[in-house]
Amino acid sequence: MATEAACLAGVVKDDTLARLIKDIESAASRARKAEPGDRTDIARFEALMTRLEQRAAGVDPARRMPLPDPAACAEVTLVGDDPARWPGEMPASVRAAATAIVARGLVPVLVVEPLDAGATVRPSDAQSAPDPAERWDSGGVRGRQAVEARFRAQICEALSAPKPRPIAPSGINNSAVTEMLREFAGAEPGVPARRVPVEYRDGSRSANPMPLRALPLRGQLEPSDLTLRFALLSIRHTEMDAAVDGAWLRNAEISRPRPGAQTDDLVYDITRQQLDELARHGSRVRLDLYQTGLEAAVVGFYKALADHLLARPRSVAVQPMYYDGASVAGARDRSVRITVDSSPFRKGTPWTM
Amino acid sequence: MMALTEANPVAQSLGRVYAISWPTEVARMLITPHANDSAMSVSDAYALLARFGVDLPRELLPLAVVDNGSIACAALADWGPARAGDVLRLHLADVDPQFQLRLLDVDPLAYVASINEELAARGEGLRRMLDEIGPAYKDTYLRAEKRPRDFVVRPVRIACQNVIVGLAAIAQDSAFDGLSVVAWQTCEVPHVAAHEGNRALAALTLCDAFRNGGTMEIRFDRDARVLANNRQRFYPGHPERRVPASLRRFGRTVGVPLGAEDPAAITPVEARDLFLAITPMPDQLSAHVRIAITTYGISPERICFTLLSQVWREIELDYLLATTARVASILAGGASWQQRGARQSESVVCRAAVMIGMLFRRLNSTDAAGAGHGEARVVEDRNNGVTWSIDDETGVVTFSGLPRGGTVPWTHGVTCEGTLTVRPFGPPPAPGVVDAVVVPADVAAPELPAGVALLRCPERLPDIDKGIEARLLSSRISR
Repeated sequence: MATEAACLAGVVKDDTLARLIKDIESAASRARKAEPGDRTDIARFEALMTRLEQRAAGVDPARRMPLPDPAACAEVTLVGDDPARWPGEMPASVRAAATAIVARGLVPVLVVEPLDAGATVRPSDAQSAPDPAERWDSGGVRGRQAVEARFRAQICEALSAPKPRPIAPSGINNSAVTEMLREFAGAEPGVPARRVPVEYRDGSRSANPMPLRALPLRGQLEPSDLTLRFALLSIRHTEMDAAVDGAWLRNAEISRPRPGAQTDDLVYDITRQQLDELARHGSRVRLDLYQTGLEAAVVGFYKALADHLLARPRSVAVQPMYYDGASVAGARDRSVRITVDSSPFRKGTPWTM
Repeated sequence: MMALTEANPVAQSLGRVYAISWPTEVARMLITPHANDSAMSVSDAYALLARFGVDLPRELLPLAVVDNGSIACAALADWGPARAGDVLRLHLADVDPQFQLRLLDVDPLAYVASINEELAARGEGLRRMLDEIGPAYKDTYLRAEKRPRDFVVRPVRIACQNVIVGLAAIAQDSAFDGLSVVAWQTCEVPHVAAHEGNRALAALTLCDAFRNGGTMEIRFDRDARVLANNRQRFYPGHPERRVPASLRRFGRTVGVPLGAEDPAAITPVEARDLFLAITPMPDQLSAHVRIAITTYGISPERICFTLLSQVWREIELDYLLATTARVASILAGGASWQQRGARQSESVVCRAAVMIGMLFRRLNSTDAAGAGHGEARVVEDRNNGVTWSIDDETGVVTFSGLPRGGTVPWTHGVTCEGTLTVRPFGPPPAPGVVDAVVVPADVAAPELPAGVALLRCPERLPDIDKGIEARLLSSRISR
C-alpha cells in the first residue's frame, strides 16, 4: 500500500489568499450551522479548501515543514494564520510547526499526500467482517404482525444479551414502533434498565441509545396545566393544520436524503430542546402528538421524551395519536377512535409518569 | 471418444443419463448413442460438428442441445482446466475463446436432471410472470408512476440485445425478514455466455435482499398474493417449491452449493458465498477484498453491493483497497468535513481512483464513433481486453493488453507498445518507473522527467469532486 505523508506548507499571503481564507471561514461557519444532511455549505467549504491546498502543493520545498506523524493530522482543520482561531485540540507538533511558519510571515496550510511510496501501516486493531445474519422466523405470523414480531424479538434480544444489541426500527409502522417502545420503556420490577443502540436499514447507528425498562410509566393521563396538539411533522397531513396548534418538526428540515441515524439524532436534539423549553416554567404539559410514518423521526422523538422524563419526571405527558383513515382494522378497539377535522385518529398508550 | 470403464464415475453418470426415461421435452434435447427419441445420436452430433468445422477433442462427448447455437459436452477425463464429469458449453459459431467451453455443470446426470426440473416448472413460471405478475405491476405501479414498497411482489426482467434471458418475481417478506421469490427462470441463448442469465439475475436478487436490510435469507417456498386483472392470485412459493434447479446448477459451477442446509432457501451464509462468487473481480481485486474483509471489517455484502451497483467500479475500488488504509471510511461515506486531514487524504485517493477509472474505460473502449464510412457504431460489449495491475506501495497502475502503437488518450500523439504505467498526481516516484502522470484538467502540470508523458484528464477537479460526493452520498444512505 502507498503510505501517507503530511507537511505544513507556508504560503505567501496576498489579497487573493486573504479573500480565500475569509471565504473558507465563512463557509465553515455556515456548514457548522447547517442541518444534518445539508451539504451545500460543506461542499463549498471543501471546494475552497481544495483551492487552498492546491496552491500550497506548489510551494517551494524550502517553505515546507514535514510532519513526522501524518496519522496525528487526521482531525486537524487548519485555516489562516491567526493562532487564536486554530482548533484547540491540534497536536503540539502541528501547532509548533504552524507557529514557526507564521513567524516567517507565511500562512500555514496542511498538505496531506496519501500516495507517497512505502508500506502503509495496517490498523493495529484489525477486525474481521461481522458474521452473516442469523436466520429468523416469525413463527407463522405474516405482514405487519411479523414486522412487529421481528422488532419485539430484537428488543427482547437487546435486553437479554450480555452486551446490548441494536434494535432496527426501519420499515415498521409508526404506531407499532411507538407502542412497542412504550411497552419496553416502562420499568419492570427486578429488570435492570438498559440503553440499547438504534440502527437503521442503511447501517447507520444513532448517537443516542433508547432507554428501556427505565421509566415508571402509568397507563392513565393526569390533568395538566397546558394541553397542546402537535402534528409530528409539518406538511404531511395538511388537512389537519386547522386542528393542531402547530407542528413539532419542520418537514423541510427532517425529510432529507441522509442516513437514518442522522435524522434520528436531529429529531432527538430538537425534541430535547423543545421539551426543555416547555418544561422551563415548571408547569405540567400534555402533548397530543399526531404522528406520521417517518420511523427515524418517531424513534428520535420518543428517545428524547424518555431521556427528558428521566431528567425531569412528570413535566411532560405525551398522548400518541395514530392516523387510522385507510385501515379496516377490524381487530382494533374502535372505541378510542376520534375524528379531527374529518380525519380519523385513534389514541395510543400515553407516555406519562 | 475415450473408452470408459464401468467403475468410472463419469461413465456411471452417463449410463444413468442414457438409461433414465426422461420426459419428451428433455429427451428431445439429449444426444444419445442410439438417438431413440432424442435430438440426435452421438455420431450425428459429430457429423454436425464437422459441418461447423469443429474438431471435438477426444476427452469431450456431446451430451445435449443447449440452444440453437450450442451443445453441452461432457468431459470424460480431466482436460485443460476442465475436470472429468464437467459439462461444458460448445458454441458452434465463432465466439471469443474466453466464452467457448464454459462450465455448465459439474456432472452429466446432475445437468440433465436439473434441466428436467427446470423445464417442468417453466410453463407455470412463464404464465405467472407474463400473464399475471408483470401486467399487475404495470397497471398498479408503472402506469400510476408509483414506486412499490419492498414487500410488493416486483417483477424483474433481464434482457440482452432484446432477448429475455431471465425473469423473476421477488418481494421482501417480513415473516422471515428476507427475500421471497415466487418466480425465477433463466435460459441460455446463443449470443450470451453460459450462465450469464443466472449470474445477472442472482446479482440483482442479492442486491435487492441487501438493500432491503433483512437477514439476506432468500426463500422459494413462501406464499404470496398478487392482484391481477381484478382477481387475487395466490402463489404457494416458487413453482419448484425449492431453490430453482437452474440456480442450483449455477451455484455448482461457482463452487457454492445452494439449498444445502434448507432445500427451499438460500441461507444468509450461502447468500454471502454466492454474492462473493458472482461479483466480477480480477484476481488482484479479489485478494484486496479478502484483506478488506479480514482487516478492515468491511462486510462482503457491502463490497459486492458497491461493485454491482457501480458506486465504485472494479478498478476504482481496487485502487482504493490497494493504496489507502482509509478505505473503510470511504466505503462508509467518507470522513467528517471537520477532520480535514483525513478528508484531504481520502479526497486525493478518491480523485486518483476516479481518474484511473476514466482512463481505463477510455483505454478499453473500442467505440467506433467517428470510424470510417459505412461502419455501424456498436457500443455494447466491445472492449480491447485491457487489464490492470496496481503497485500497492507506489500507487502506480500498469495497463496491459493495449493495441501496439496505439495513441495514448489524453495526450498529443503519444503512443504506447502494449502497456502503459501511470501514476495519478504528482511526479513519478523514480525516473523510468512510469510512462505517464495523470492530472485533472485544471491542475498545474508537474515537472516531469524526460520520457514521462502528461495525461490531462478531461474533467476538472471540481467536477471530479462532485462525482465523488455523489458516490459518498450513495454509500452513506445505503446499507
